[in-house]
Amino acid sequence: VYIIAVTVAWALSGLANAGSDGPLDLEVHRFNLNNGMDVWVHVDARAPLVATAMRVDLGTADEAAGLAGSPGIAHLVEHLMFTGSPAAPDGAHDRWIEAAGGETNAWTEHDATVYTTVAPANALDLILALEADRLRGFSAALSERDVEVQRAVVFEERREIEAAAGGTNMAVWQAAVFPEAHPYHWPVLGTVAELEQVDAEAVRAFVARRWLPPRLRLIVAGDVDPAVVERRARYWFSEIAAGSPVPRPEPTPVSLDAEERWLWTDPEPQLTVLWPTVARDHPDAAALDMVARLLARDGSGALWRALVAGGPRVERVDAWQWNGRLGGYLGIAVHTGDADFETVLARIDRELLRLSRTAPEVAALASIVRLRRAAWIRHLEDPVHRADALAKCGAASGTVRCLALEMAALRAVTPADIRRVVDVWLLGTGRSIVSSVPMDQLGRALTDSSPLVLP
Amino acid sequence: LIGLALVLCGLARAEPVPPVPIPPMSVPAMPAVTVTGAARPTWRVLRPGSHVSRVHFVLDRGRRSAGDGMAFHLLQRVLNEELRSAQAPWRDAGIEVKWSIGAHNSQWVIDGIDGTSIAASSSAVQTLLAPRLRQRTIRRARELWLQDIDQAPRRLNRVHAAAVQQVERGADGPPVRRVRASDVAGLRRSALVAAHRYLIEGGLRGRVVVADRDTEDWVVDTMRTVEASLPAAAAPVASAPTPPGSAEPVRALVDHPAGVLAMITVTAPMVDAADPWPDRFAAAVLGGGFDSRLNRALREAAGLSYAAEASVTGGWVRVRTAVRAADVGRAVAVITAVLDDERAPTEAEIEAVRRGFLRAAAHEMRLSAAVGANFANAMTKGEGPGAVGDRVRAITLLSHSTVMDTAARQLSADQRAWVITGNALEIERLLHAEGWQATHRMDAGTLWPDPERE
Repeated sequence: VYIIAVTVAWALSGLANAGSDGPLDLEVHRFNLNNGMDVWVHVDARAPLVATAMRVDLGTADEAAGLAGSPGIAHLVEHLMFTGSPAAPDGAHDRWIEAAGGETNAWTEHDATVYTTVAPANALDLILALEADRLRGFSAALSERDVEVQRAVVFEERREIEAAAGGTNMAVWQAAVFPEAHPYHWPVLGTVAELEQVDAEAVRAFVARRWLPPRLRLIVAGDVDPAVVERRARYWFSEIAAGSPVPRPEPTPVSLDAEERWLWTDPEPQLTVLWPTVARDHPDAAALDMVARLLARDGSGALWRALVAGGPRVERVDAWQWNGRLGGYLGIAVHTGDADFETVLARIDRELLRLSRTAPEVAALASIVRLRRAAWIRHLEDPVHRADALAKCGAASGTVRCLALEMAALRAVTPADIRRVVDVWLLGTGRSIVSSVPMDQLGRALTDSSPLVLP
Repeated sequence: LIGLALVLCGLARAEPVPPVPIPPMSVPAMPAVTVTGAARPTWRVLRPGSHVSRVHFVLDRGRRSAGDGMAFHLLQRVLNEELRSAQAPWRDAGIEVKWSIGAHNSQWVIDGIDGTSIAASSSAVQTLLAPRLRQRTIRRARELWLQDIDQAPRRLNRVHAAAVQQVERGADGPPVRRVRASDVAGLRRSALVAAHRYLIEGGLRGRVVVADRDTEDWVVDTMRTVEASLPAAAAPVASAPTPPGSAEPVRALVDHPAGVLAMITVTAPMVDAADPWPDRFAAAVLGGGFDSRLNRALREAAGLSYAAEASVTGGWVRVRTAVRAADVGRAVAVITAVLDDERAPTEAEIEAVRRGFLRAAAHEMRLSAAVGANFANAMTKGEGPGAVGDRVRAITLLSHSTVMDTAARQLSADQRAWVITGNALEIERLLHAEGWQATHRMDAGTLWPDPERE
């Protein structure tokens, strides 16, 4: 209760202090349907286009709370959602959108599945009709043959990812930092053995209590009239029953008591250090994000100076704070080239200690905020990115001013915050270290590393 | 019961899916361009509300203008590393600066947020005009390049791409070679200094300014610095003619034993290298979106591939996909059937492609980076700013009969070259069962002879 209270108070104070952030303070018309579906409309008439993002609160993490033994089913559902319905059969979804000049895309995350479309603005009603049609007719049209074919496509996707250098990084990191029982431990693509057991009935059962209006947020961005969007959205979606969604998994704190060392084979040598940290709603999320950016920034970051410009002179260093609904981690990935892994790790530890003892200058933090803001402005030029960003940050904060709020939280980070979160989350806990090495260079891994087995 | 309720809700909805036919989208409006200056013109594209300000300085020389391109490649790596790691006010302001050295031209791109911040870019231009080219940065760039050369034979996609290039060059063409490690190691700072001087001396063709304001106050210092430092380019740049493609029905098998994937490319010369749009339309019918013929057949019907793609690049039309090595025989059969399908593109297919291209043009015009790149590319080719709008007109006016005629001749069986890369032993057995015989065999060794042993 204390944590929730602190989180809410922090969020509200951040919102109050956010002020206007010009291009990041996007104007949004918001309405809710009686079945619980949330619709946001952002008008941007600079091109005759409409972009939509349908964010469904159904991701890989939801597999653990429901149909046990079917990791990968959320991602399989994402593929199957394009196969058709009685009203739009045999792949008509893509056929009709492409006939209108549009383009669809979709992806599955641990917390959600996202379906995007960009099309000429006059295709708005078609997009809404087809998104609603998924809710109405997906289960009725689903066949065993659909499941069989899309499962094969998913296996091809998996093979392509595994063949690419670094393609399995995300799955490896999640498996290394989250324990087996945690919903984030599963890889999005699932496992071959388990997916082979999934049939149409299992998919229907999984979808029936998850792919429901209360779990949907539809963002419409582009050259549209909010009144028309509202009228047509109510027309297409209002009569769809809210259903009884199953509860989503609850956040589970993760901590490591000691250091765990893992060995993974990959064509590109890489040393990754991962610390379990905080979920996206936690007050320390912004400061941890700032720590990652301070460490790895080209030209001035402490790790860049210690590892790229000097010391072992590695190829590249990346650092990031990954925030999910149920938890998060801070990662430092070093593309080592020929550098010795033990030396690289010692340098990382040295720089973290230095950051803990010597607070960064305020100017360095301000510079990170400016870079972040610039990156957001560039990113948001694309209407599809605009719709997706609103959907994602809306899911995190529930407020239409979520982008401005995120910048405000970053601006509020102080040098003292940086020292504190380094002490609490990086130096005061255990961690997981993954030595990724080519098959013929296994001896380069850190000592005492155990082979990592993906679920 | 819930499922039944959903179905009943669907039946209760009076309006069917799909709704009424959608009229074609209006042709996207091209941004207005103001041209000033004659010898070194400035094209200004005003985009109010974007908050993004970009300048493309188009230089008249590229790496091929001076023969051996290796020094230019290393120069580009060193310069961009120097720019990326600079500790300067312009970086703190969120400005990004890049030097792209192309085959016949090069560009400086300064990308900032809001006009006030890009004013700091004049100091970035000093780096472009007089880079430090420190030995430490050069050493590091060389090391990274050498590691890249070393890793290339292990990467399936790199080996496959090189094999496709080799096949397209034909038996009489120059061999595709890996860069010799000893040549990279031998590149000295003096070579980079000479390459830099050569590019600068070629002069400035012009500038493309894409900004959210109609004054140049924010970048005037930068422009003055550049004008004072670069001569005007001597003569308009002639677009490099697309070389005629070899039209041999090759079947190349490339051995890459590791892994379970096989990559497949079918390539043939464009039907009309002078006008790319008929080929682009026909290729999009084959492998554009998810509803294209190849994706329907390979992905949605057979589940053989994650994606298939048909593209038009550098005088060639290419179909490309990746499949499980064990499925290569079936995939070749499906691709052959689609390519041999005698059904001309339907009116619906052609109109879908046209609308898709128009929407993509409107989408690009929404992005400052794409707007800048499109106009700068027109400038490098010696075209006027109207060339960007001409593209939209070409898409709008292309006739069905032209597309159908092109599709009938595109990737025809007598010109089709196949390149398949993967575990050759397994693939050959599977292809043999399909009656597919390799005419050429390659592996990473024969494709890229070890340069150190030559």
